[in-house]
Amino acid sequence: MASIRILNDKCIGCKKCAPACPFGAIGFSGEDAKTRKAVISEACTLCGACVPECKFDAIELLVDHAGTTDIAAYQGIWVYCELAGGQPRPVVLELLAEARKLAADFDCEVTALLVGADSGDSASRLIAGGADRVIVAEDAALKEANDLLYTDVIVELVRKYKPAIFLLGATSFGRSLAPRVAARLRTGLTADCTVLTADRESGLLQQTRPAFGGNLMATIITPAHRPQMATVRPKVFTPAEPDAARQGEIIREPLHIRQPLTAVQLVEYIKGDSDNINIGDADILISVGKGVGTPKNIAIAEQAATLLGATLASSRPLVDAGLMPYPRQVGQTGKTVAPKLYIACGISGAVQHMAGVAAETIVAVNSDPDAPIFNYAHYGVCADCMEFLLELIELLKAQ
Amino acid sequence: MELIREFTEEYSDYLHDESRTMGHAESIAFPKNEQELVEIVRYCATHKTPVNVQGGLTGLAGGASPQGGLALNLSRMNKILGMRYDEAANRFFVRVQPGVLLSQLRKALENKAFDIQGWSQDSIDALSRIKAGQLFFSPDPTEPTASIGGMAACNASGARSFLYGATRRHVQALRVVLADGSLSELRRGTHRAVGRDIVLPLEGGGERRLRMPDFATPAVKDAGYYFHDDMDTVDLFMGSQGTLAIISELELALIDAPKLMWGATAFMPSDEAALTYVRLLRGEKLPGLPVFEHKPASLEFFNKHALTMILKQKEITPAFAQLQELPADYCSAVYVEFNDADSESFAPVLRELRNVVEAVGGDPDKTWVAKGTRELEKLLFFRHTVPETIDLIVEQNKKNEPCITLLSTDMAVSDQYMEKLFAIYRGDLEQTDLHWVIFGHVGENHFHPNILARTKDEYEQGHRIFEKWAKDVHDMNGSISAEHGAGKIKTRLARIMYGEENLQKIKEFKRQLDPDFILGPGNILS
Amino acid sequence: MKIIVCVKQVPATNEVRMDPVTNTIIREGVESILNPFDAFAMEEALRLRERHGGCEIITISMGIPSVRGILQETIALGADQAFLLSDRAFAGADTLATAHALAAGINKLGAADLYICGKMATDGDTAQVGPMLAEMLGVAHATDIAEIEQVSDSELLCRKLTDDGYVRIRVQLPAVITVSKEINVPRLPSISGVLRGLAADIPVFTADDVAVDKAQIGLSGSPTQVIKTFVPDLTQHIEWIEGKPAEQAAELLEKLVARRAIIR
Repeated sequence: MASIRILNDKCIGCKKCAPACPFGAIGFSGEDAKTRKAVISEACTLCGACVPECKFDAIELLVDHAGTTDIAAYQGIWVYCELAGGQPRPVVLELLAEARKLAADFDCEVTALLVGADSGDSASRLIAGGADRVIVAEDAALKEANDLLYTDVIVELVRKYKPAIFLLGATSFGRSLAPRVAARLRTGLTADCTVLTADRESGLLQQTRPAFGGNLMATIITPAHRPQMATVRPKVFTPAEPDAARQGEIIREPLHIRQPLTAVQLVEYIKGDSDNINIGDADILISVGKGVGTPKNIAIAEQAATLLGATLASSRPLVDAGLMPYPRQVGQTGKTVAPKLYIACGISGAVQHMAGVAAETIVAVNSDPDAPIFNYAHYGVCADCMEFLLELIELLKAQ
Repeated sequence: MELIREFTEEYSDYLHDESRTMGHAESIAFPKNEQELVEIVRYCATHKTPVNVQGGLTGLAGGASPQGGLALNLSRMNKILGMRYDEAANRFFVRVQPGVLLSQLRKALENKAFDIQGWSQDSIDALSRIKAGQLFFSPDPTEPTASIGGMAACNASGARSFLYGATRRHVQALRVVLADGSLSELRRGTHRAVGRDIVLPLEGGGERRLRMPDFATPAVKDAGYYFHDDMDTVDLFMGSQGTLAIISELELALIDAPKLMWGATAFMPSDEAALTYVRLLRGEKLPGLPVFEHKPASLEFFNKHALTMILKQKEITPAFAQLQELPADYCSAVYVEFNDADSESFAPVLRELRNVVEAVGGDPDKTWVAKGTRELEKLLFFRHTVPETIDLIVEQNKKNEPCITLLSTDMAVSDQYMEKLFAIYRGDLEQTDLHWVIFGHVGENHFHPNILARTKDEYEQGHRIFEKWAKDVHDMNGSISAEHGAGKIKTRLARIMYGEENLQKIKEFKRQLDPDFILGPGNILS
Repeated sequence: MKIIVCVKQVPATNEVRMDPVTNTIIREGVESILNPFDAFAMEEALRLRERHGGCEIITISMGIPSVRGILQETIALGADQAFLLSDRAFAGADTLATAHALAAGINKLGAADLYICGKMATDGDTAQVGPMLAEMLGVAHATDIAEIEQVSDSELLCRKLTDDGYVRIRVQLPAVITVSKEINVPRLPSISGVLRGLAADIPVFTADDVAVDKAQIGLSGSPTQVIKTFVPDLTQHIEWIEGKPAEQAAELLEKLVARRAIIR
């Protein structure tokens, strides 16, 4: 069993460790600076963030991992290719581009794992997008997304080929599938990474992700288990220009799906209204927040959006208040978006919201000049949102 | 003058407050600091331009709706200027400009998030003594975007004033700009009237001697003028609604924030049961009923019409979808909130509360409990939905009949008259075909009957009923406006409460401070 | 039908607040609450019981001893029983080790027909424990459930949110589902409920009680390790657009066209 303790002979009570603890679990004993020692309370989650902060090596974290036994046998980087309408989802190409960079640092190959029913020319697109090798596992039974079936197929192939790193897009299906695969492989999985770094010294993948709603960043490793699995939100990385001249190997893996598992069955796609619009696809978003507030004002923002060829999105408060539908929500608990232009109206700009915005250009309109949103914006408009939008509408109408 | 702009179409939002009383103005100004404010007032004094002070525009009595002249909007005087620690009293005070919003101050205290640029070292030292969430400014008008200056100007109160008292009690010092542009700084305890005589020290030397009217203002909670023997001079301006001077800075007294806030909403079989429940929760001993000895922070009442109204609105306003389903078979509801210094008392008090609910015919299985600020939000949301729904309906009705405004009263009486006042309200309204609801701060015997007029006739009928009530309340020595102020909507009611003779006395008094009557035209005295 | 709801205690706010005087992170005064997504899970269990009848609702959590308070809240809302897994050996768990511990606790309690989890916890935002738990329990799972349209003893008909809009799915029981915030509006407990919760006995299980391999739980059972945490610096250089709203709108449009952020 793992444990943490303060080595009192080394601790000088300098208090440097306390701010490093995300859980406020470090207190101090002793009357004065001379006798003061750090004390770790029950709130400690053994996260280990304090250990590197101590210059005196006075914090000892003991871990007794029982990891993967044949670590050296695991080589290369895998990217899972999720298909939508027979084509790779955009996030797959984003991940391939990032995997290429990691592969250069680690000096290894990039493999795309294509699982589905009818992949068309996807394999060659994956090679053009950066894969050295594509493993194709096709079967009619894999037509619809099915966690159990896909897990069976993927786990079998991972066990056969032993990749060191396995990246998946944090799509709706990816976020459902990846934990199941990781659990069956009994390996580590880091969700929603925003930075992936190759640590050549240790040979480990450093995975950085937002925690506490993006207010804190955490860098995570999977030292003793393989593969090192991570999911990455769409639009975090940029895809490479497709290179049709790239060469790659395509391996077709025969599948033996005896009896399709149907514990969870798709009945139908629910034909929707405009709420089925994927704000993640839009080039221009006008996003409304608490400062917009009322249904009447939202209608004005929508009018501006229509005139600008933009899609209307929202921050969390309006969704929580029932004024905007959930699929329109941008942020940590909503969607990640990377439009060319993001116009935030009446949005204060909490980190949770900004964690979901990766726009080329951000415009912030807010009546509060101190609103945090202005820390992220390329253009700041300090004005009453409604006054501003009404003016914008007039201008756009005139053009 | 550069600071004063012509009043154009783009400023139309500054012509009314939440009461939808439309005003008019020729010019508008947004001073950023006291110096600019003084310059503007001096200019107005020279030109005898009427000055209509505005804060957050969240008032419900038209106090900030301009009546010609200048709309003096203080929303950009919104800085928290510093903090003071009084070691002897072990108390903290915060200094703010009048345009600071209540929500802004609350958030700053809760998160210890202050912009300390420009603060004195003493202020920074005082701040370093506090922890996030340790201190709290208790006045709590329902609307958190009210400005502190506006709250002081009408001595705002709200649900929690049952425990903490109205805004007055929490203002330690004021800086005011008089009608001629001179400045006076007043501190509670330091500057006091002698009998009815008041001396205002002027910045830069000199003083202004005044004699207050000789009658006493209501003893119950009241949002109007305050004249009492030997009172603190600060209190003169609290409740004067921009008619005596303009507040340019406030020092607010902070108190320790409660450790645990919790509340319960109980559904009652009759209005009478609800009022008995209120009396018991106030700690009154009634024969044959359990005794309850834990003082609530607030007690709020909703009659059946108010509950039905929000349920109907829930179907059309998506924002209200977050409201929990209401139980069937009830008549009215009472919300009670407790602000406790520790969490030990929660369980024993809850047991007592169960007994009281049962004793008056309520159902502990259908009484909602919210523990902690997060959950409490849900009950408060429910509470806030009532005035918000009224707002939506008034706005709708106004489309058909532009003269319609909010028809809400906030009269208050002393404890002994609670049932009598309620019976008058309900009795008078039941005899009409009007659309009406009653809710409000029952702890201080202070209901908000609202009439949702659909036509001009109904609107006028509503006003007539209010005038009758003003007389009834006058007979009970009550206040015609406990928390919103008379503003422009209730001047007729103010006339009934003060009487013609006293009203003249107030005007004479105002003349001593504002000889040309440029400040707050139309408020209270019209 | 037996329903097990998995819940977690989280801080009420994610905000990292900085003290303006000392420039250090403020930690005081953060309430601990039931993870908001788990409140939707709990409410859905209550609604299934009201709709379907004959349901037993059990809640389970892993955490420090004070998490009993959160479990008492679930009793207050209407859970029949609540259990806490608490032991230093569980500390430092990542999502895999958490799922392992929960699965061990559930095996001790006996299998259920339906396991409901919130979509994610607001402090970690991983959304991983639900599917991992399903794998460890050997049952199917479905994430992001926005509505349970029909329920029988053997299956659910659900509406689920995906990247391409909503789909209708049939979920055969036993299964784990994770619910999104669209699914319901959680109720507040009643006075009677809260008093029941306060009086409730919440059994605490240690690692030994649930007979779990200590190498699979807590920090030892966690393949992932945090090596560093830091407060991100996200400041961006800003260009202010001044003037009256009409001027601001015109200037902004001009700049956006020049930047090719919009095409005219």
